[in-house]
Formats: sequence, structure tokens, C-alpha cells
Amino acid sequence: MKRLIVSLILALVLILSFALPALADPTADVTVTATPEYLALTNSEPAWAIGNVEDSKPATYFWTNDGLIWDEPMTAGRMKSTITNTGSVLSDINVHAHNFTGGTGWTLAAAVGLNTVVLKVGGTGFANEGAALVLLDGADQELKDSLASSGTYKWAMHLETGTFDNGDPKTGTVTLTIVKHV
Amino acid sequence: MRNAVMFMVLVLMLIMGGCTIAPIPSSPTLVPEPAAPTSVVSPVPAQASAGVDWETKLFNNFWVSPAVVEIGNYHSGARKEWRIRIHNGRDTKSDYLVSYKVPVETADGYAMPLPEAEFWVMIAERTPMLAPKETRDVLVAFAIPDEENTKYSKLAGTKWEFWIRVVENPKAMVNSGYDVRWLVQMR
Repeated sequence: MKRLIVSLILALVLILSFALPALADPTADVTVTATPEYLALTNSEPAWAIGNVEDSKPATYFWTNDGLIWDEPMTAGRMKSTITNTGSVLSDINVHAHNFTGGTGWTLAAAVGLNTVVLKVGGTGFANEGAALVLLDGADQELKDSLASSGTYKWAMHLETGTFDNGDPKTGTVTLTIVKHV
Repeated sequence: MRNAVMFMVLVLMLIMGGCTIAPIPSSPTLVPEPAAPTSVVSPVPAQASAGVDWETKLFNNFWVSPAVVEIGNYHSGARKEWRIRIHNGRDTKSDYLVSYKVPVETADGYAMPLPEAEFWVMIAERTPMLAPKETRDVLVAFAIPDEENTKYSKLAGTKWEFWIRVVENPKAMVNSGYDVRWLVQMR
């Protein structure tokens, strides 16, 4: 009888030594899953070489098919660049830009000023100039909702410059980001 | 004596019936950052849709996978990980920035993250440089510290979202980036 009790106690200790960690495991019932889907996009026009800009008064420049003001509403034929959703899922396209760099840089803003510019983005279907997205440093905005896999979307830009006190060349970056539409 | 033995047998049976061995975690184990670029087997199966070999199709593209990571039944103290796969489709090396991002918009029923949520996300390799045509997995871990359980009890039962952004370092004026949605459902 004593031997039986000792055996049972030993068995109990062994089982508890395995069971307690499982009981205490905080991650046992937390799940993480992901479906194999692919995010990818291409953009046909990688750059906009504006050239020399007016330095004594505000000026305006359009990155459209013909370099002229975009139409209203904006039509695909007048847009400059084509985004293609080369990924596997229905996606949204967002856009953001950063302040121009080079010498005394240009700040992106909603109105022109000294060393301050306005950079706008428009795309097919935008109603008018007023609907164009005004890009501010680092702030994402939606350019296109629900672009199908293999779908394309055309877009363009409009730059308004103010005055500036430095003539060094300036460089700006615009980033298109893609995210699954849910 | 017999009663004591019966009692112990009963306890033993209750424990064996109530205990489970902890399941093998569904996410890969955190490993040290590799010293040299490697192409590792992703925990995500390669094919996203029937009949399309996406990784072959996108071989010459910059792509990221998956598009969405879902964490379910989450509670503070738990740590969950997933590897985001990045592919450099260029014929030259390219470097990327992997970072936490507040969503531009959230999925239906999901809230924006709390400001401190970025401190709950750990990215193993924030500035990977990939060789031409290389595919690399970058581990992302998510954990709300257990000691903050009371502080964040308000999150109990909620659903919220954050993004992990992968951006290629600018090569031109117009560049591209990819946002992976992380959908968190709290216990």
C-alpha cells in the first residue's frame, strides 16, 4: 500500500511538472494567421523634371500629358502617369510627399510663400482643381479606392511655386503606397 | 488509507483530463538577424490563388507578402510574430525601410491604434538591403507587456488595426511603398 501511494505521488509530480507550464502558457490560445497575398504596384513615369522655375513671383506647372492645365473633370487622356496594381488583391492607393530638399528647401503647404510650394495630385475622375489632393510633408491621402488586381489608374501633378531666396536645385519625392482594400 | 488512495487517483484523473500540452506556436520562432542575405522558407505558402504562381509572375517586381496579418483572441503578455516577405525585383541591390504606421483608414469594425501601440511592435530588420532578385523575410513581433494589463483593460473585447509599411529607398521622384494590415482582435 505504501509503495502504491509513493508511486501515485511520483506520477502526480511528473504530470504536474508537464501540466503547469501548459496551464500557465499565456500564448496557447492566441492565434495569428495570414493568407498568402501579394502587394505590388508599378508606376509608368518615375520623374518630373520641371527645369528652371520663376524666382520672383508665384508660378504654376502641370505634370499632365501635354504639360497644360488638367481638364475638369479630369480625364484619363490628360493624365501623365499610370499606376498598375500588379499585386494579387483589390487594393487602395495612397500618396504622400516630402518637403523638397536642396540648399534652402521648399516646404509643402496649402498656400505658396517664401520657400513654400503647393504640390497637388489629381487622377481620373477627380471633379476639378478643388478636388485635387494637396500634399503636405509625410501625410498620406487616398488617391484611388478599390483598384482591382491588374487594374490601372492614371494620375497627374500640379506644382505652384512661391518666391525663394536660394537658387540651388531642389528635389522632391512622392510615394505611392498600396494596401489591401478591406 | 483506501480513501486517501482513491482521492489521489481522482485528483490525478482530473488533472490529466483538464491539462493540455501547449500547442506549437503558429508563428516562427524569433531568430537572430542573419549576417548575410538569405532567402528563407516563408511560413506563408507561396501560392495566393489557384493556378497563378505569383512569385514567379512578380519576379521582376518589388513586392511584399502577405497583405493582411490577423491576430485573434489576443491578451496582454502574449507575443505573436509573423514574417513579412520582401522581394527586390531590380537587377541592382536595393534598400528598404520597414516601419510601424498608423493606418490611413481601418477595416470595418476596427479602430485606430492607441498612440503607444508603436511600442508594442518590434521589427527585426528595419533597413534591410536586398541583393538583386533577392527575397527576404523580416520578422515582426507584437506584444503588449503583461504588466500593462490593467492600464489597457479598456482594450478588452475591442478590434483595432495597425500597419507595417515597407518603402523602397527613393530611386526617383516617384517611389512605391506597401502597407501590410495587422488586424488585432482582443480577448
